Amino acid sequence: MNPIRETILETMAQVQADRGRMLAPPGDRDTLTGTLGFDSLDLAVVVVRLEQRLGCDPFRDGRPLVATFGELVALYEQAGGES
Amino acid sequence: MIAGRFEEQARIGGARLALRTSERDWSYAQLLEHAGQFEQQLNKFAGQQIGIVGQDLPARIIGLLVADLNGITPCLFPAGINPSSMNDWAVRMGLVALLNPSARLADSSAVVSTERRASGTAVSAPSLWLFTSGTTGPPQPVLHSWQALTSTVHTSSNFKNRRWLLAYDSASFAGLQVLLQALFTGGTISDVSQCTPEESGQRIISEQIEFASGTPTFWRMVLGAVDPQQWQLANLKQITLGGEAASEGTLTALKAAFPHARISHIYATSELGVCFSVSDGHAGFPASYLQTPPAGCQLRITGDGELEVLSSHCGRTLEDDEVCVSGDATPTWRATGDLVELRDDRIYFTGRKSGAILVGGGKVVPEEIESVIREVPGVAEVRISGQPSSVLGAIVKADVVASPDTDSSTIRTAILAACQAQLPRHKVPAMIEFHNTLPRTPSGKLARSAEATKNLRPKS
Repeated sequence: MNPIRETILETMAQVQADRGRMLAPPGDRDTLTGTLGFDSLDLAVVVVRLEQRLGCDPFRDGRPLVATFGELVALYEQAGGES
Repeated sequence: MIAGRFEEQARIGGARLALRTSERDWSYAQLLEHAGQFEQQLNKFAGQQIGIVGQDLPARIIGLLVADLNGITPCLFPAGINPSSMNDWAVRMGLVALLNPSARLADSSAVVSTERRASGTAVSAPSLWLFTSGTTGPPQPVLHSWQALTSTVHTSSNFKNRRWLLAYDSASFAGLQVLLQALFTGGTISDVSQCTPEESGQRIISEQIEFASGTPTFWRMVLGAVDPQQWQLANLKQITLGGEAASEGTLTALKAAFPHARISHIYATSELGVCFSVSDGHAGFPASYLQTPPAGCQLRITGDGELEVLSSHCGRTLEDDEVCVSGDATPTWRATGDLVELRDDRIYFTGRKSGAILVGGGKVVPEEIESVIREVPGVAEVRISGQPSSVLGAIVKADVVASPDTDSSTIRTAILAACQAQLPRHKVPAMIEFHNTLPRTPSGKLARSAEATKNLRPKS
């Protein structure tokens, strides 16, 4: 598995674990707020923690969140490639 | 006020729909009929004040109708309030009874008398109690006159019989604005306040919503949860953002998704009412508003950068002597607690004066969380601050000094457990960092300045 995808997975699992929940391994087409059950607060925490670990925040300019896990990974891979 | 509008709609509109919830649809006539059933039990309370217990939208609307039909001043409690604090408020505010419109009429829980001691605030005009979002500590009740609440309702033919989205709690000031605007103009409300962003987006499309209002966070989440291609099927004419400052990026993304909709962001608080709205597609507001004030409100900035407003729409709190409840008394300048700065002829919101943290529009007072964490065994010192977040504006961060010879991962778990048990979710620290010491001011208080936070490095 590539390192960015792995970091995102770990971070998402930690955020769920803090709330006493398990994160089933997501597929690329799983939706963040649908099948994966993340809400805006969960996602805000994921994005802040990822900024600390990966050094980038692709949502910094106020752009909308993305729908699926695959899109989230792609966005960070793209942002990581640019920085 | 409101019952008259319902009677009119029920008469001319036949079975016109007032509400669409996840459970069922309600016509104007059905809601009115339901409210009428309570008349015998409630008419003895004319001129007095009651609390509405139901938390779902139909119950609240029925409660407002019952109150209006019987000359009663109603109080709407915020979502998630627990029964004991509801009773405490009822006693303190002098509410004579609590009405649960969801209960069956024969049910003894439908109308419950309270053990009030206070006589109730004197009300000079038809009014309504709403709770603030809790700027400085716990939520407080604020009395608004119907006249002031409805003064911003648009009645032109453009607004007749439209389809509206309700994304706010209907007992919040913003939610009530949507409710009144829709119901006063024969509109149909789709309630998505309990829906996921995906469901909200799908309902905007499938129910062909025309007017939609939500926080910037709500819109970013909805935009992200729906395939952009699908928005071509949407029919939005007006998009309104409120409750937190709208960023340039969010406004641009909305414009791209809905090129034909008018997009505006609104400045309003539960204490001050609606102050002004901005529709030029940019964050902040034009500096010219200071000289040429928007209708109904004047603005000025104090020496330390706080926005003040002179508004005739402001409400009245329990302790308030400055009565401007009916909207016709002389308005006075009021502090907003919002800090602003001027850049290039534009005024931008930069934070809260009190040091309160805004998490997705919800206000968080650091001291409240600190007092919970300080009780956790092994915690020597704690300071709460806002960690900037591109998604919610800020999230809650706890900087902690642990007692000697303790295990920080055990303490971390205990802090989370204590906060989750005692605080609403948005106040539970999302980040917890451990330190050897926390910075203090020369007088020995915990330093809360941005400068102090910046120089803080976690213990490795």
